[in-house]
Formats: sequence, structure tokens, C-alpha cells
Amino acid sequence: MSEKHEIATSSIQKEPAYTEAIRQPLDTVRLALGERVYVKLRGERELRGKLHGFDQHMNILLSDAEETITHIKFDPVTNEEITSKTTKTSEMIFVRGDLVILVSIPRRAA
Amino acid sequence: MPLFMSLFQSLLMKKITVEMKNDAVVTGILQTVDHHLNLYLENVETREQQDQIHLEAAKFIFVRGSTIRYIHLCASDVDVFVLEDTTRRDIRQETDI
Amino acid sequence: MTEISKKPGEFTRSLVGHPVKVKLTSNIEYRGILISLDGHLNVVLEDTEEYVGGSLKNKLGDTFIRGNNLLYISPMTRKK
Repeated sequence: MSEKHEIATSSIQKEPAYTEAIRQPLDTVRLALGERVYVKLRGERELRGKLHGFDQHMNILLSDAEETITHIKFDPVTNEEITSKTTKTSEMIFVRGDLVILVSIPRRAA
Repeated sequence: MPLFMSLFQSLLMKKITVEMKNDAVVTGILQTVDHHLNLYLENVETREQQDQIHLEAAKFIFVRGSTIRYIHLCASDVDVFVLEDTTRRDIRQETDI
Repeated sequence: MTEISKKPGEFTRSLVGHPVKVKLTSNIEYRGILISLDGHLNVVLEDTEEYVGGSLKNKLGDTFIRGNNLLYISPMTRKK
């Protein structure tokens, strides 16, 4: 009688392929140091600038920054929202972290 | 020392412009800073937007850190490479468990 | 069944690498692949799309979202 021995070859993939890339969220922002980023803030404010520093509260320092403020007014007569934008620039700006909603990072060339 | 506290320590006696969450804007010479980023400014000039905010022409002002929106600095007062390196080191410490 | 018995931390970690929907308190919604998250619920999404009132407003690439703004994070069914 011959017995067939089959070797189990199915490799157990416990972790997805992402395992290596699992970093803390702050590490992703760290990789953007020295690059231009987009920051969305509370109060309809947006900033674009070069990222030079940040901490765990998301206090941020940007250079060559451009701030865009969106003003939304509601016209009670026409029932329409009227939006207007103003922009300001700053050569070096510190942003208080509690206002930060998100930081968007340019795609890194692989 | 926290990153931004040491940054502002290096800006003592420099002119900075603080924009507060109530839209008031204050320019002055930075005298002291603490770890809440509370600031104490001297030789203050105030600029009010839309006449809403009334800050008396005070010579000195203490700004509570949590009321700050932005702080505008002179680019020449900041060494961005040192700041980037310090950020990298601090964040690595923060995220290495 | 097993999904239900998961602890919140296990659930969120199981979403890493998968498409998710992140709703903020401002009612804005972000969709993308979840790259990482931490204890503050700071998250990083890849190929992020911003939805306001259900319609696509913006494409943002890799995006760090500060955890305090989060209402919820939920898996999205894969469209393939």
C-alpha cells in the first residue's frame, strides 16, 4: 500500500502585503518635510506651502505659504450661497495644530 | 524641549506677528514663551480687521497660546534645515514604540 | 459574526490596506485606501477623494487627517 503524502504548500498569509508599510500616520507627514503640502483648516481656510516642521499636535511651520479663505454668504432673497475667496501670503507661518483638519502630501516619485 | 517652544525661544527679541482666532492681529517683539506657546510681546502694534476687535493700544501683551491661529515670522529668522532635522528626530521618537 | 466580537482596535487595524470611508464632524467625507492610523484616530489615506454632500469635490492623493475631526471610519465595498 502506498500512501500519498502531500506537502501542504499553501502559504499562510497572515498579514497583507502592506505590513512593511505600516507606519504611524505621523511618519507619512515626516516624509513630506521639505516639500510643498496642502493644509485644510477649520473656518474655511486652506494653506499651501513648504513644510519645514510639525509636532504631534499638528502645529505646523510652512514657508512661502499662500492662504485661501472662502467666505460663504447666504442670500435670503435668492436662496443662494455666495462664495468668495481671498488669498494672503506669508514667507514663514506657524499654524496652531488645533485648527488643522488635514494635511495632503504630494505623491513621492518612487 | 518641545520643537516649537525651542523654535520660539530662538526668536526671542525678534519681531513676530500673531493672528488670533478672533481675527485680531498683533505685532511685537517676543519677550517670553512657555510650553503652551503662551507669548509675551512688547512694543505692540495692533491691527484690527473690520473694526470688530478692540485691543487698546497696549505696550505689552500676553497672548494665551490656545487663542492663536497663526504666527507670521521672518524667513531669515528661521533655520529650516535644523527645524526639519529636529522634527524628524522628534517624530521618530514619537512613533517608535 | 466574528466582526461583531472584535474590539474597536482590532476592527480598525483590520481595515488597514482596504478602501474606507472617513466621515468628519463637518460632514465632509473622505474615501481612500487606509494606510495607517494611531491611537488619536489620526489616519492616513491613499488616493483620497473628498466628498461634500455626496458629490466628489477634490482629489488629494496621500492625506493625513487629524483624529479629532473624525466622526467615523467604515469599510467600503470594493468596486471591481
